Amino acid sequence: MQEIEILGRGGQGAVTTAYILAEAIFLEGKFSQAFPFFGVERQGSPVFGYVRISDKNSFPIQHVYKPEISVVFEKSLIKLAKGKRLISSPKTVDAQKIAIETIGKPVFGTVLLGALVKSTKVCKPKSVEKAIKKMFDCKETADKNIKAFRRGYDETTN
Amino acid sequence: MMKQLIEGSHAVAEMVRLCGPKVIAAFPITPQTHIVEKLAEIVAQKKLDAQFINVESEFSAISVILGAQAAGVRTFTATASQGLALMHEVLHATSGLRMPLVMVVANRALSAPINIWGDQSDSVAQRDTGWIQLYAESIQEAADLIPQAYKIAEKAQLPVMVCMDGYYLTHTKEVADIPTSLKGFLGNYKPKIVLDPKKPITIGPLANPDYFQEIKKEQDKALRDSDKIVSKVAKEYSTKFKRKQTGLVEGYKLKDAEYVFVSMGSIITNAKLVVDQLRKEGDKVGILKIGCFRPFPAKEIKKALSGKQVAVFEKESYRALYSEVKASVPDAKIVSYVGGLGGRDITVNHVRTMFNLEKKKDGDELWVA
Repeated sequence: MQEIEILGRGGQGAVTTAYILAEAIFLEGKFSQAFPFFGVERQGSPVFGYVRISDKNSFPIQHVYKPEISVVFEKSLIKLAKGKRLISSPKTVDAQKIAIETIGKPVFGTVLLGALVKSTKVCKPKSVEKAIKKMFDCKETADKNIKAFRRGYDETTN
Repeated sequence: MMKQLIEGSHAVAEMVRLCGPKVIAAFPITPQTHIVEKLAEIVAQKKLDAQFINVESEFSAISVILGAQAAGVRTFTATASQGLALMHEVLHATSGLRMPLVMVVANRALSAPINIWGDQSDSVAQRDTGWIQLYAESIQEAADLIPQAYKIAEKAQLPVMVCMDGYYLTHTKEVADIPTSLKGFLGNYKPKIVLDPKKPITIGPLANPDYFQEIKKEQDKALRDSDKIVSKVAKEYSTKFKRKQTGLVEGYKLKDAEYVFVSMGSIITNAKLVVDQLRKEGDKVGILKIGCFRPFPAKEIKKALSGKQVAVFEKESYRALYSEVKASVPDAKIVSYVGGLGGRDITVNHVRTMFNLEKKKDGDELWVA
């Protein structure tokens, strides 16, 4: 079982990012579990999105304490990350800049998913694109996020 | 059936849609909100022919659906925590009027201190309101319990509360198998009593001391006897959808177990992982999962736990489950654990420590995590 932690602030889309990743994994025929842990339910407070991946549909129902990877939305949150491996903005990729250029606002989960998939090969980029389409009913939002995801993927070098 | 990665709240909403309530009334409260938000969307998209009534409080939500149910239709609402507490008066009225309502409770701690996270202090506090109470272990089970709840309610002429741990089950996405139709399991609603201006009757008139008690005695009998209905409906659902349902209780590796963990809700999933591991290490451990808290399956519990060393774990500080298990099984060593309050994470490791019963005394009341 693989565990991933996605760490953002309320309103940035950490939970949606966890859901998209879990869907992409499921679309590849594996099992996944995704769930949020909110500090408090308001914009700006730290929010954890957890994802578990396995070949079996059997997961504990508890927080993720020792994630293999932490995806971190901004520098100020790095101190909360528990992962052995760090994917973060702006270090891995300048997710905020790409999000503003592609989506038009600083919700950059899909950009960071691009970075995650490129550097860890946790799933295929095509699966994430399908998952994004499934997540957003609005075609325009889906298209913008796919663009953001692709740029995140392309502009990640390690 | 369709296997999909689905959020617990949405799985429940989809199953409610299949059951076809005609009136849904709700007031938003975390962590229940996603259930009724999804249902509002389903109604707006005309995927369910129902009236969705937004109300100004949970007291009104339950009152609206009680009235609608009396007018002869299936209904639905969902709530949590303070919302459920605010409904308290109407919960008694609902069971006393023998109205087969179905409500989902997304378990959340009661204030004070204010807290939005999960524990079972809200629904367990409503234990004596005359409702049947079922507790889900997983998203799959929460979904499967919805049509069973309607069937049980309508057969027993009693309201049913389906309880699912807030966040752990409501906000989590897991792979679940969601039926596309309930045909052959749940038919159209056939109400036994209907408020109809064309054929006027009175529901809930004054009952004097000379027959009030008879009515309450009948209601009590109906609740006690509903254990058979809960079991039967679980069996029917298991057969129809090829998935074993819990019904009253589920024993897990119980047969030769010397140490047994007893609880209800999502913690059972973690407990099963612990038992699988401890069994590999040679320990004779098992689980008794309580699927139905009201009516209390005392007979089944006694049979399963007699002579064993038992850890009862509950996510409220009343130790209600403990006191009832203790009263049901006089010949077992029973240790009471309280934990997981206000969203405190109870991990696989915590459950493992609860199996260390050897040095504990019967009647020990402990806290975990």
